[in-house]
Amino acid sequence: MNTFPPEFRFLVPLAAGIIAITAYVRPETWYLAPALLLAFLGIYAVSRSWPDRGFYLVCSGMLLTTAAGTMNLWAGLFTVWMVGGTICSSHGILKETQDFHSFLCFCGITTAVALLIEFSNHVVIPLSILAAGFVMVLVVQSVRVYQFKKHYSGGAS
Amino acid sequence: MQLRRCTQGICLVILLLLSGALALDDPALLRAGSTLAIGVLGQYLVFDSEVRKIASSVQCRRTLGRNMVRRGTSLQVTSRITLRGMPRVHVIIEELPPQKTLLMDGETTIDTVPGSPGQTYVCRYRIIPLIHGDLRFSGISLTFKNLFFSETLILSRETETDPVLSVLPAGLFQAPASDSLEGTRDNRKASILSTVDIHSLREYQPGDDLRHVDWKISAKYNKMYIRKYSTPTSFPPLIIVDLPWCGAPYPEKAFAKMISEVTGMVTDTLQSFQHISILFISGPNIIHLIREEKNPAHCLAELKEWMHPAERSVHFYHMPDRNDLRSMIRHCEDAGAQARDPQVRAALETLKERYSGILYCQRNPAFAGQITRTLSQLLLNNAYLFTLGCGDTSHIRHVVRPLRTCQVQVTVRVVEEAREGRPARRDTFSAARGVGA
Repeated sequence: MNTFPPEFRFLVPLAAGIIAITAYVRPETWYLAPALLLAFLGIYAVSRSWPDRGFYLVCSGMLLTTAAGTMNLWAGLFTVWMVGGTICSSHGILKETQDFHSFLCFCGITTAVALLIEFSNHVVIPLSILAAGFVMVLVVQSVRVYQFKKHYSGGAS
Repeated sequence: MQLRRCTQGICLVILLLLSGALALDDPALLRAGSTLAIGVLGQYLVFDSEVRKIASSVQCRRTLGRNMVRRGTSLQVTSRITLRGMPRVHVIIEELPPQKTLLMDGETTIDTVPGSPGQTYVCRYRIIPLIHGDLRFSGISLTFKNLFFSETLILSRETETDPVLSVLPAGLFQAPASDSLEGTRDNRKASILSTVDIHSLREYQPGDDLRHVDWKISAKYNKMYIRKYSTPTSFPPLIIVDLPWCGAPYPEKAFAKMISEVTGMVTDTLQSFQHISILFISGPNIIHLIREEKNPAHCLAELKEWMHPAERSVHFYHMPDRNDLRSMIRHCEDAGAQARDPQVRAALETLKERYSGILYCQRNPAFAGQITRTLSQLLLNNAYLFTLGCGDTSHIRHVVRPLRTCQVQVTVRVVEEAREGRPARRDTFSAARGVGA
């Protein structure tokens, strides 16, 4: 009988991965990523009963992701996936097959975005591309929401 | 769509990361910020998809306790709302009663169970319509919530706003609170023992007539007190307008004539008495009461609003007054006692039995009680009843009798169209000869 919570599927590889990557890359500030990993694990353990737990996990997870990203592109990507998986699992939004498909989709998009950032010399161009993409998605979505609400309000929007 | 507190914090983190990336030109910060933004956007798209699935599964069926309801009376409403729940989306259903109604009791909000497939939720409540007319329900409001977002959707299609609630007008049967004082009213009527009566006392003010000083009270309190007198006054007549039924044809020219006559009488009365009361009825239904109105413009505006054919929730058909039936029975008894012919006596006996049977079966109509309660608020000596005289007129008897009981002189005015080649029917006649009597 499996007694571990589902987020351990991501938490254990995250811890192992961070330690392994730190050992492999040997950065100058080698202690930073393991320290932030400990902080993330600590917040994960402490915040079980806190309201808005996701916010605290995201904050600590993003610090860890940034620290891992400074070491290596793939280390950063790996950390993003594992942190994302941990947060989703701890909130019960990674249970069904459809959820895993969405998570895989998220992993694919983040990979593409990470590659785009990696192959750009500066931040401005990928940031502009990403902002344009976000604005486009939000505009399309706002039109869809308008039509949706209009339909359900009997034509009077 | 609204961001919940957790998502607002995450969005702030995204902004900090992206602005930091832009300021420091750091790809690691940009990666972190962009991946977080993608995650939030993805969650939003998933939430939106789930909201659409739930909204498309909603079915609403509403039943009313009664099809027609009178204004101010309560109505039981039962709504059955079926929807398919999603596992992580919490849905709160709120029933939206029609506008201009008051929620009396019951619950209009239902907390659903997330993830339940096709469950039906029942919502029962009572409302009180505050205006008359056809009122449509406002629909239902669905509030969707998950960990990160909340969304409110108002479903107001025809299927969610049915059925239409027909609210009939109701009369005003209570005097306004401002005129009531611990169950009594100051009518300022003079005492019958003298022609002039003291209404109140007040302190002397410069310019007051010294002849009106109450010396005894002034000596008692060591202050000058002035007597305020009231003199016998006549009260303005009550104008009762019997509006035709909107569900049947009526003589439009005669109605226009009645409107002009009522308007003229209202204007004259306002000039003479400074205030007026007008009661609108439509058959045995009290529609509206304008009570002691002093403003001519407001009064005419009210006339314009209410002087049109009205809906009748109650109809009379040759409904005799119970007092009339009793007097007819007495008359038959007297005539039977004096009659010598056995056939006439038998006929009178049969007639008496018929009247007694009707009297036994027929209850006093609610309209008579409503009229009595409405008239009890007013002080009047005269009343004018304007009617077209079309359809059944037996309700007029029920209006006239309580007025006559209160020693009010009633004049019934049957307004007719002027017809060429025919002598005009006598318009005005006393209620003693009564219409519908």
